[in-house]
Amino acid sequence: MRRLKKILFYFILTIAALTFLYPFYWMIVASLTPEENIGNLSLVPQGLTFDHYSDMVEKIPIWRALFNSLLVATISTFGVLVFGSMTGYALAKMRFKGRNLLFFTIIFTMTLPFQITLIPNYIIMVNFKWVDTLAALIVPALNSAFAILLFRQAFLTIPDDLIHAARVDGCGDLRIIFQILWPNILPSLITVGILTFMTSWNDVLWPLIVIRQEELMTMPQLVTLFAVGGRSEAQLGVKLASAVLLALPIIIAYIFLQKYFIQSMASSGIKA
Amino acid sequence: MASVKFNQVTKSYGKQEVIQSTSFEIQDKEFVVLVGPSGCGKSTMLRMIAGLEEITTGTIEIGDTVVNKLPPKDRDIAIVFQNYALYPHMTAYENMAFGLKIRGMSKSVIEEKVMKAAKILDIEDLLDRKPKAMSGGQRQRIAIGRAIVRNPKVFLFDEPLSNLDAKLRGQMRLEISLLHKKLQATMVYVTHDQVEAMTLGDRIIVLNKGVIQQIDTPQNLYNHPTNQFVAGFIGSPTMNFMKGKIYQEDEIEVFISEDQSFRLSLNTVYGLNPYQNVILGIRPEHIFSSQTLLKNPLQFQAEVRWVELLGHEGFAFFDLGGQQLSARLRADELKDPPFSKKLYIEGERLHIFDADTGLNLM
Repeated sequence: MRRLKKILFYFILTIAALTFLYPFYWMIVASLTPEENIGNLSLVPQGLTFDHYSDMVEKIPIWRALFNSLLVATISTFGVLVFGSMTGYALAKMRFKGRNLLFFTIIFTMTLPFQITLIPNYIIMVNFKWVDTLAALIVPALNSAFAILLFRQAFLTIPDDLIHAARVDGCGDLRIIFQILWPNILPSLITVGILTFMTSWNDVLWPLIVIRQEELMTMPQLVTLFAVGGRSEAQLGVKLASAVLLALPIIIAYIFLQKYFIQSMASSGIKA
Repeated sequence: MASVKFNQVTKSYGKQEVIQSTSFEIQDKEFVVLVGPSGCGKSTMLRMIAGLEEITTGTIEIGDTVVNKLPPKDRDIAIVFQNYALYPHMTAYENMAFGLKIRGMSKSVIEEKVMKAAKILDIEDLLDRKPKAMSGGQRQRIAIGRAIVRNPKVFLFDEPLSNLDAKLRGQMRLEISLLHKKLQATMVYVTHDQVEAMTLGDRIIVLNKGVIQQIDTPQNLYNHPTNQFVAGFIGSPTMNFMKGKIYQEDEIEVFISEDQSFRLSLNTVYGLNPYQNVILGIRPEHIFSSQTLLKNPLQFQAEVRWVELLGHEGFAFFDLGGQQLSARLRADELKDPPFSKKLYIEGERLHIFDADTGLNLM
């Protein structure tokens, strides 16, 4: 009876896994299949071609978009790690008037849907004359309420005496954060790093609003415009090739950082 | 090395004053212990010397320098914390070297200093280990090592032995005492454990509710406590207290307990106000089962109702004058309770405190 239960359990898990995996598998296979055979939905590739990839490279500046995406996601992630931990440190370990009010205000901003702040944010970008610059993508993403919350909680678990010891040893606050505390909150750093990078990498809406020049577009933005904007000339293969290229960095990152991905999802309670 | 001077120092958190106006001086090379119950302000005082807590009013001097505005790193002090506060991601060597590295010392000088400290503390084998791979005692040695390498003007210890088991605590206590002799450094040590205070300190500062009760040598604190708090805090087990009044009878003073059930002729005249409300204090070790060798034996009958045996000695507990008292006696003088026993208080070791102010009247 127990064995039967186990078999049934694994059977359901396998079905669930296949349900999630199949669209990815099909996307990759279809991007390598000649256009006329794509519609067959077969498991085995029918013919092999890299034409869709070469067509895509010819039609859109995909490498430039890849560079933009990497640049924006990397700088944003770095910014969130640095500024998020600085803010979290102040909220966890420094004593000042209004500290809790500030913290709760920051938490409150997490409850606001992005759509509500979209227009005010856009107006700020216009006033700063940052529309159609990478600054519009990078600067607003240099800190996040979620990172502040996670860092604050992580710093609260560190005894004050460790910070006092560092102060007596001659450390200032920045050295305390980056040289003493960072190595001791690695799981939180990795969680924030992965989630920030993925959020930035997958973002479409904000880039669509503030970036119009093609050479400044990020990959998801470019691919979305390409796929739904008519430039792919209804060629499914080219669309799928661009989708594969879009998903590839995250898939590669997942393969290497699988353990941390799972940890970060579990510890943050957030579905990315 | 240097002296540490408190000039009318106070510390408040909002409206709550945790240290009331305090002035004292710790001499150069002196080992001073700050002792008192939890929340009495002893750790706050230590942290004010270190610069980890701001002073509300007054000044603190280390050597000839007023350090009120100086950050901890510029005060030339080192501190050993209760929970060791070692950097978990660094090895013992790196922990000890970190402060020197920040001060820009060369690698060779750092190595020389760390190895010298490691030799003093006998921790050469531990230098490559990280804190999590060490026992509590080893971690505390590294924490002390981190303080030694800096060769500071003043060493500060914040309950450094509280997290260790009793045996290790005894051993480390001895080591810290020897270290003080070896380094000839000014040391300020905070503890709530009066045994640590008595064994380590050249002088002890007894604190209660942010007020210094007495600053004195361990023996003077034990023999001549200025008030009932110090008398009760110093000594283990604690001093016996009994409320009552003193009056004169046939030219000698007599104590009568509050409930009038116990009367003790003191065989002497202390010159106290007649019928003054007092508290009589006598330590358990100053109650004897024989009057031989006693200068002023004051006899009474004890109805022992409980006994605690500790091997070579034991404690007899009995009720007298409405209070529970204890006497430290030889184990062979104790038997299964209840039993009645004639006991003698050494009158020379009696303490009489004012019942209202708690001050020692003798």
